[in-house]
Amino acid sequence: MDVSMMLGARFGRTKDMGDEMAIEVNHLWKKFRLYHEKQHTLKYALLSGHRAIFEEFWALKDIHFILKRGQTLGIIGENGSGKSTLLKILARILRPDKGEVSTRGKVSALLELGAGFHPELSGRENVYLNGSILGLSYKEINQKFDEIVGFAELERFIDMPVKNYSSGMYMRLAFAIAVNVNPDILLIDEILAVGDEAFQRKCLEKMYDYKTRGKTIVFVSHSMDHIRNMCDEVIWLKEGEIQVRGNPNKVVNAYIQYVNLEEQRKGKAQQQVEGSRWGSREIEINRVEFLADGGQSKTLFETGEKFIVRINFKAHRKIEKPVFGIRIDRADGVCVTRPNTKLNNVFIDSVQGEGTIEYVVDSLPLLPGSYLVTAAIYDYHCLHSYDHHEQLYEFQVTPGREKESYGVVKIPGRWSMIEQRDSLAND
Amino acid sequence: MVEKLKELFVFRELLLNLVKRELKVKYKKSILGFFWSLLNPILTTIVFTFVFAVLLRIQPPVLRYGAIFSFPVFLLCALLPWNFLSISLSLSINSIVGNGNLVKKVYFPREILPSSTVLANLINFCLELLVLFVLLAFLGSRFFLYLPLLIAITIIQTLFTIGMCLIFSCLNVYFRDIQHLLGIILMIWFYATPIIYPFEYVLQMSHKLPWLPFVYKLNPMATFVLAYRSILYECQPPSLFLLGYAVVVSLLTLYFGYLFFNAYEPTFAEEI
Ligand SMILES: Nc1ncnc2c1ncn2[C@@H]1O[C@H](COP(=O)(O)OP(=O)(O)OP(=O)(O)O)[C@@H](O)[C@H]1O
Ligand SMILES: [Mg+2]
Repeated sequence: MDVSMMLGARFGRTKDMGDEMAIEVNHLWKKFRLYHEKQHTLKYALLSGHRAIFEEFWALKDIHFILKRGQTLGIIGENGSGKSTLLKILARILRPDKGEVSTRGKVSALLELGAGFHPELSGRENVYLNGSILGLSYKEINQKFDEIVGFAELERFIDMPVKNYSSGMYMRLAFAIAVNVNPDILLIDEILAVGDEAFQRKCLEKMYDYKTRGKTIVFVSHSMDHIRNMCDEVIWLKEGEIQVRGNPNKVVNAYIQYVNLEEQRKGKAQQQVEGSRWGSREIEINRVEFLADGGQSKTLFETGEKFIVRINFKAHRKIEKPVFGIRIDRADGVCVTRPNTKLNNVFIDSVQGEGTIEYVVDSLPLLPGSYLVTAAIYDYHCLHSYDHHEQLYEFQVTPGREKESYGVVKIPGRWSMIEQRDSLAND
Repeated sequence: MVEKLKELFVFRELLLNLVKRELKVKYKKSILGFFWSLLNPILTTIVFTFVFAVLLRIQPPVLRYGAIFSFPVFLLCALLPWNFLSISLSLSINSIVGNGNLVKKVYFPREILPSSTVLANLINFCLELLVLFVLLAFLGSRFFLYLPLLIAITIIQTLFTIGMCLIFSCLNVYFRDIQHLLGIILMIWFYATPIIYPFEYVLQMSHKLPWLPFVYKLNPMATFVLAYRSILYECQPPSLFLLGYAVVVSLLTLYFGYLFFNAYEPTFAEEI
């Protein structure tokens, strides 16, 4: 029997909206109370004489959307923007103050893995307990038991109390149970953030699997790559409101742009300067900018676009034979390239006073991701550093029109079919 | 209410699994674990017998099982049902707050949490009763005459206990110190219920305080205890009037507990 249908009455009746609708959120508002000195005690309530002082705070404001069956919706936004709150309301854990939510089909929320595990019980017993917490029946768990244990790769440890599991084993078991719940609507809140690489890949594969089976997924993540790859549609929540909603690339780009701007505004870049800058500073780097084709400064580029790094410098005395260099690292630490004027046979005799130098890439070969740029000025032997800005500048690459998106760079390769024999005709 | 019952039906397996979890953790998965849990009532009986029967000379009205066994049996007939209530209450009061992680992360009817504690204790209580039956049979009692009635009383008491546990587990979300208060309430309630002394002692006071027996019987636990005792100790049918009263009070408690719990349940996840 379908649980969510029965709960319909308590939670805004499940409407018949045609076959298509999976989730309908209708002008939803949710407020929290922020207590100034919340004391959860009777003593306090009786003795303090006055009612607890609190502020009301709207965590979600007028959220309104419809999600069709089989769609994957991504939700992005800064910390505290209300993403988890929205998921919890969809999962019926929290109740909205205004507006209503209706869902069709069985909803399963992966807000935290292993929330119901009991440390004293064995893995086996926890599979049954956790399964029933997530709404599986005894029979269903029996059927899927081997699959769950196999997926978690815990055959040998299944009768051991879970308190003796490593945290990775714990996570794997919890995830294996969760993905076997087989709901119509799956809510996922950042569970991918915790596991190792292999685990994340497994999670993503499972999600693709769900997707291809026509399940509806709502997916909260801070990983823009995952969002871009998984979602059909993205909502950007800002302070509890829908800022932008639409196709993943558009929304993610808008969000990244906003975050970058915000960071500059907060002067975060300025703070970092002190930490990762060194050198004798007879010649100083004043500013490093990334320019697009038209010469405007920006931090978001598409693969294949023109890309210019412009360095403004000032030499306080005459500097003989300086070497200008940059390094581009991918955010995960992979060094992409390390060009400098000496290696590129650009000989600079001497500099004095202010100046500008540019490194121009006609067609940026980098694939989507975040990149960190180091800029530095050295002496001719590259031993003495005048000014070195270690990974102080950041830019992002988005796919744009480019379809290739795995790896670090797009190398200028071509495909061509040399020969193709029709073996059937030859026989 | 019907919706709720349906919902509970859908989640019945969770209820069962939580009961199992509680029992497994309690008994540490061994038969010995159960006998270990008997240690508490046995020791209590020994101590109470020494203090109240030997030192203070409290005597059951009829010495049915000889001078040595009368008081312990008389006491156990009331102590076991009392323990069922008091242990259920003290454990389930923390069932919402203690399972906060679950309440904040997963949806299921929250009633299941306190109810599962009560049911686990019910099973424990029934096992203890079985041990008591063995003792009674050994002493030649004919307690089985009214066994169906005894089962009915146990069911009614369970409903009453669930009602109380719903109220207290809910209160505990908003007032965490209610746990300390509960200890005091249980202590007063224990002495206000004829467990360590016979109800006849209360009746004897009625020429001075004519309202006392009436007030006593308002306490539903007193009616339960009297009913258990008349079946198990005296082998008599309990007063049907008192039983009727117990049914009414229990159902009202359960209903009120349900309403109360449901009124506050939606905000549990954000208050914990
Ligand atoms: N139970 C609660 N009581 C009071 N305020 C709360 C409660 N739960 C969440 N909030 C507040 O609501 C806001 C939204 O929280 P939420 O957890 O939804 O953010 P989020 O978008 O998931 O952030 P993150 O990216 O850090 O996970 C926050 O300001 C938070 O402080
Ligand atoms: Mg969150």
